[in-house]
Amino acid sequence: MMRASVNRAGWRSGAYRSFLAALPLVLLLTGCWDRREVNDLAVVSAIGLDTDPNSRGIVISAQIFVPTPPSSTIGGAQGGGQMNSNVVVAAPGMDIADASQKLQEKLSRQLFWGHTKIIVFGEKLARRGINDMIDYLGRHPGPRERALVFVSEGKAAEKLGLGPLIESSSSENLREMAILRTGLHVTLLKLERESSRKEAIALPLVKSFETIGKVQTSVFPQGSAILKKGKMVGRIDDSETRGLMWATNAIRNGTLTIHLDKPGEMVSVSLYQCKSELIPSIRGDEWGIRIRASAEGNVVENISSLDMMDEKTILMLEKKFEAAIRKRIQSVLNPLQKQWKADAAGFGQAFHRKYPKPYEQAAADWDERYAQVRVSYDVHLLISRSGFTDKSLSR
Amino acid sequence: MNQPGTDSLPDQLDVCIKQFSSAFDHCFDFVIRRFALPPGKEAALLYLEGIVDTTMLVRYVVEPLATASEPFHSMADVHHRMAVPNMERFHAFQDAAMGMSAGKAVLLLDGESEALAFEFCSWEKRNIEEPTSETVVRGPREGFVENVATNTSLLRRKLRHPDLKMERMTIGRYSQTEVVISYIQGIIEPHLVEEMQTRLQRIDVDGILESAYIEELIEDNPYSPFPQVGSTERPDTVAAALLEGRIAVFVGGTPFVLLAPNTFAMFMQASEDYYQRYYIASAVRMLRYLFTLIALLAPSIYVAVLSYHQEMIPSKLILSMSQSRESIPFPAFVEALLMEITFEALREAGVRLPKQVGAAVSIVGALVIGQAAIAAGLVSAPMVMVVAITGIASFLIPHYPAGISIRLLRFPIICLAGLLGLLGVMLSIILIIVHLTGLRSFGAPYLMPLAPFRLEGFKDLFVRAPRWLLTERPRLTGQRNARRQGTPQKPGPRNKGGLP
Repeated sequence: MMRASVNRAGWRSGAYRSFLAALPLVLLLTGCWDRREVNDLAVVSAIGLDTDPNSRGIVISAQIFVPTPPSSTIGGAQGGGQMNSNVVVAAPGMDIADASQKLQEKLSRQLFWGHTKIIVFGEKLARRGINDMIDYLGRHPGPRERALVFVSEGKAAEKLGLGPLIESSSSENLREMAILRTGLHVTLLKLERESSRKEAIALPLVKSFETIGKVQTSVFPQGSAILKKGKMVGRIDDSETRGLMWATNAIRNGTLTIHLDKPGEMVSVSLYQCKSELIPSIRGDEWGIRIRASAEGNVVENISSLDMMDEKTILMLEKKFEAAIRKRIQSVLNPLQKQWKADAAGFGQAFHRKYPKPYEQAAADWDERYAQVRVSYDVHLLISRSGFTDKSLSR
Repeated sequence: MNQPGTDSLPDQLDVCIKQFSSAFDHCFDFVIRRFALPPGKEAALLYLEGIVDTTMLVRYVVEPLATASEPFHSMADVHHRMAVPNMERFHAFQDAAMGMSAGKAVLLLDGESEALAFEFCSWEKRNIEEPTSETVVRGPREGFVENVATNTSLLRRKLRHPDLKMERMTIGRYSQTEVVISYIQGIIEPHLVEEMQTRLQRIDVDGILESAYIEELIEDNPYSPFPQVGSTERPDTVAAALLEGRIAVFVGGTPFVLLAPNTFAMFMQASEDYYQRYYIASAVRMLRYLFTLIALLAPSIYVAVLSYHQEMIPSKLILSMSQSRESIPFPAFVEALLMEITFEALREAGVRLPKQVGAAVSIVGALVIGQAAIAAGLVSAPMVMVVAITGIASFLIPHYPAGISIRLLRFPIICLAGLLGLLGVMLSIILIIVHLTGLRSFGAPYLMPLAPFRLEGFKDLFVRAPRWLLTERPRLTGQRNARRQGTPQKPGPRNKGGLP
């Protein structure tokens, strides 16, 4: 056994030698044709898509990171001075591919989509329809599937051009805020998936605001845009968005405040472990959805004469909060069902899962059916902690 | 000198001496001391000055012979009556001459075609010191020296059993280096000893000045960048290896003892792993494997990702990286090669330079590959970090030559990474793994116990299992005497219930 391993005839055979000789040639075949240095890249951190007022096409605007070399002093190796700066460059085109080609022509560095984390659709474009854009974003290997999608109030390019407050760029601002889950969090992947399956989707809406004192304008997501069949049909406000999040199990935590019966009295709870599910049912011709939502909460503010150590008070408060949550969900489902007939809460999917056959039969006129779906609520809130004191400290 | 060794010694003393004088012509240290034995017999003592302890020679040989009350009749008589432990009778001239070269004093008698050799070597030798290449915090602090007899005695002190065998042979036409094969009979596979003997016997070179000469001449795959024979300066490591059923080769003139067979996993085992608590030893060993990977791959992955796969870098990192690379004139690949070569140069300079200058080199080096290079805009800060990590990482491999192999392999991988990106890195990993799986060391698969898979071996691979679990010897080429300890070795109180 050992002998065999010691002298390997194969090592010296002619075929082996010629194979070895040919091996380096393989390297010549490939070369470094697709090598690109980091310094030759224009790293796009966000793209905005708007309508082109001059044609039927679009305008693509890219927020590009401008690297500033570190100051070359011994000791202060990195990070001194201004850390980051961004520019927004825009170019019109027939579609995204065409527009980005035009955009490339304006830049000295190769556009690099690999770090695009934010995609913003201008409101006008959203109203015209975004389905055609989604194809490129899903097909091209550049943009990340985890990029977050927004709809902006007004032009997307303008929103991208606004400066950041705390983060390094306005896109980073939006991303971090979406991660906080105070509003909707829609990734490109989710948009692609939902737009092929569902007929309506809610996308977070980007607005701008001004700071106090030295005035700076920046962006933040607030409320959302409802898109039906790829076209924006309307907006819902912040609290309605929260309602939608309750219905779609997108809510994680938050604070809920209710007014009590006596004027000027209110109590706030901080919610956690929020969960919800849609339970569809078909009874004869009546389609119904039961929204079962549950959460736990801690009392964080008590501006009333109530004693938080009293179990009855807690039970009463729980009822009131449950009603508040229910009202929130209702506030968004009403316009969705009646006004826009847009199934952004995913009722169709819930029916499809549980009743595949009846759903497929009803799919043709789902809009009508959806408007008729009777919604019932099963909200359960548990106040588990009442804070450090019992009664209000001031009353 | 190159006559065949069968030439017998002439029985006339003068002829004999003449033969020796011509053989040791132009040797200032060749000494002939003629004297007469009591009945008037002519005798001569030949030796090389400096390597023979003359005081001992006079006290134990010359004096007893010259002042003997009874006459000596023959060489056999002398041999019989001398109270010297190391005596040897030579009949061939060649043997006697070789013996003299090795430090023996040769006694010739007129009328006898035989020589008597006394071994009174007085080689200058180093004291036993702590081995410099393998230091430990806890563990024996003795290391081998250049003298084989001292080294074997150090081993004997650790394994006091007649089954510890030491076979001696001489290799090297001119160096006549003393080589001792050592193993434990009953544990070792007999064919392994045979194989080692065959491989050693076919060595026919003019000199063996270090065990590395032998290592290179007995390897299974001479083209491999990986060492297939282990080496150590530590007697405890040798003893442990012998207990694992391996074979040790002591080589005269070097403190490094060869160990075979040697698998890749063994290069990752430091002797201290077995002297520390097993949790710590296991953690440290996993750290070693991790850093071996880093040493091998970190710069190439950096180059590949930076020049082909920028998507893989976290967004915030690429922003800061593109900033730090903004003013760098070279592509990442050139930058990496530049820095790695500089680092290797600094390392080599640090090893080779006299100690007094070494400190200066490290200071200058730290500045060259550190701050100044960044400030001058030649290299980027992340690159310096990668190179530094890689440099440190390769020193985590306990076996220094294995560490060097890993460090060298880094360069072709960087080149492949620069050419093909991560594909090139994967390609080189595959090539290395294919090579390693095919490699054998004295019949033992190099990647044992990973390939071929032996679950038992995992107790001493990425972790070091507690002593009481290491019941079996590692399976290398065969399995003789597999169990190395009694079974219930797990300690614990005899009375589980509490105080008796």
